[in-house]
Amino acid sequence: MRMLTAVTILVGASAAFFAQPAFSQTRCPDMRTASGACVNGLLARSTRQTVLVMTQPKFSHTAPPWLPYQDRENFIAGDHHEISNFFTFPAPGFTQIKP
Amino acid sequence: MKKIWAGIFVMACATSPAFAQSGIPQSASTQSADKLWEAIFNSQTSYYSWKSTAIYPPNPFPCCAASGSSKGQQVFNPFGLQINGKPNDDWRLEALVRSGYVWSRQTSGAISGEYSGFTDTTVGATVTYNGFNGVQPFASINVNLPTGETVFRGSSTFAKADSDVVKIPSFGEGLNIGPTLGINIALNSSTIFSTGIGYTMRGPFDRDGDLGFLGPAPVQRMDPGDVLTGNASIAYRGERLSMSASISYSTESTTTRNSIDFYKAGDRIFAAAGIGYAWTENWASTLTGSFSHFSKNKNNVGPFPAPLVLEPFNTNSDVTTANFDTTYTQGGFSIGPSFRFLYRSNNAYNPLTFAFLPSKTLWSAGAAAQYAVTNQASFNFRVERMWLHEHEKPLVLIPNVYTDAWLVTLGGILKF
Repeated sequence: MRMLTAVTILVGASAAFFAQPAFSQTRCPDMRTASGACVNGLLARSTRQTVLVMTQPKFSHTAPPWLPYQDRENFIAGDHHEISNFFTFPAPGFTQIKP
Repeated sequence: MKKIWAGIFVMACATSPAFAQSGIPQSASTQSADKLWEAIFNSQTSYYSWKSTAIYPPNPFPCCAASGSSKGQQVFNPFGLQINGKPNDDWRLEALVRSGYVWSRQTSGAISGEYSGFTDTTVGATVTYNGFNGVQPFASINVNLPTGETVFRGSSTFAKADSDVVKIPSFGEGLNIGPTLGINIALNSSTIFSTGIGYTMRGPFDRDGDLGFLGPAPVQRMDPGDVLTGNASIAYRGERLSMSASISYSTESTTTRNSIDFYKAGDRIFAAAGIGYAWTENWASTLTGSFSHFSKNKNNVGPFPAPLVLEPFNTNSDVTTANFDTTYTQGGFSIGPSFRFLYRSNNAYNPLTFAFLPSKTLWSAGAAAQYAVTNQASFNFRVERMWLHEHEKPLVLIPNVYTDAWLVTLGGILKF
């Protein structure tokens, strides 16, 4: 929890420290550096998707939030304990009757 | 130079999240006349066929069990539509809807399980602000709608296959909502540090029950724990060389079963890294790897409500993966071999949690190709041969399990 709190603080502090308002300047395909130079648009798009992939590891087993052709590159190994208990044939003898 | 990048980006189709392909070929999208909006439709169809020495579905007949094999097939067709746009210079919007259809069958002797139907459906959107120099904040919200199936009657439950062979472990779950906040920080025009935090609220769903000693239980009500994850990544793209590294940390709340605390998954660390290099204008290679580790779970080891107890031995597997691809690109056509390795640690049976902890090794070798037919359409093709070895479980006298599988995938990215 402390690490996650630190990440949250880092996100906010980074925005406050590094952000500079963008005044009249060259149009870029995506983001700009602090000096106003264009950043590789595909690189920026790729890193945004990396954040989404890494921060939603258990969002959906069947329909993750990206296009199907990107499934292979966004692979995160499944939680075997969860898969066994959620989806496989349930272990006999210790299942409570649904109230 | 574009050919070099085309080769690298095609190779990124087989990489870790750290090398997520940031866009599709321009030839396969539709743009509005003012080039501020684009729509991308993608459909992939994968056919899996496997044969295993494991007897699954369970087959009590000695003749069939002794023959020592089961087999299965699955056809999985996920499809999605993504719309990307820039309403103005400062804002970028990306919207996505994705679903899929699956047919799956497994057979052991005369016993088989079969299922077909739609999977869950995801709708989501990402908003990015470009009004700052050096920093790019973004926010994403995605919703997993439970349009799939979670309760399987009769033998259809046996249609679910090993998720280390096929892509999906089942065919549906509950209503999940996943917001993410993130930020890109441009260290220079070729290097970005990114960080983010995401929360996944996972809704309850019914699943098929069992014939427990308390009596028949047609369904169980599962309520998965919610997941909170933080991430940090860094990525570099040069003229020939690309590198990236990423790490995330997740913590999960308690999962309940029929409103009784069931277990609390241990915290998870996931790390991934990759490197790509364009040898020439036509040849490029990528090497990626990942590692996942779960801490010990806390379990309710009995049938009645009780405090969760930290397990004495870690019943989770560490998972290590590695991928290597090389691509030859000529014009709109690219082709090349691909290799994949996966290793799950642990190899025992935990009687306290009734959990099998298979130690597994998976090797795969294959080839992938992509062809841009026109500026609005491209097709991709992949064929793979997989060999999976599930190591013996000596405590329960279960021998080694060997699985051979084929994967053939045909996909299209189209203008509509």
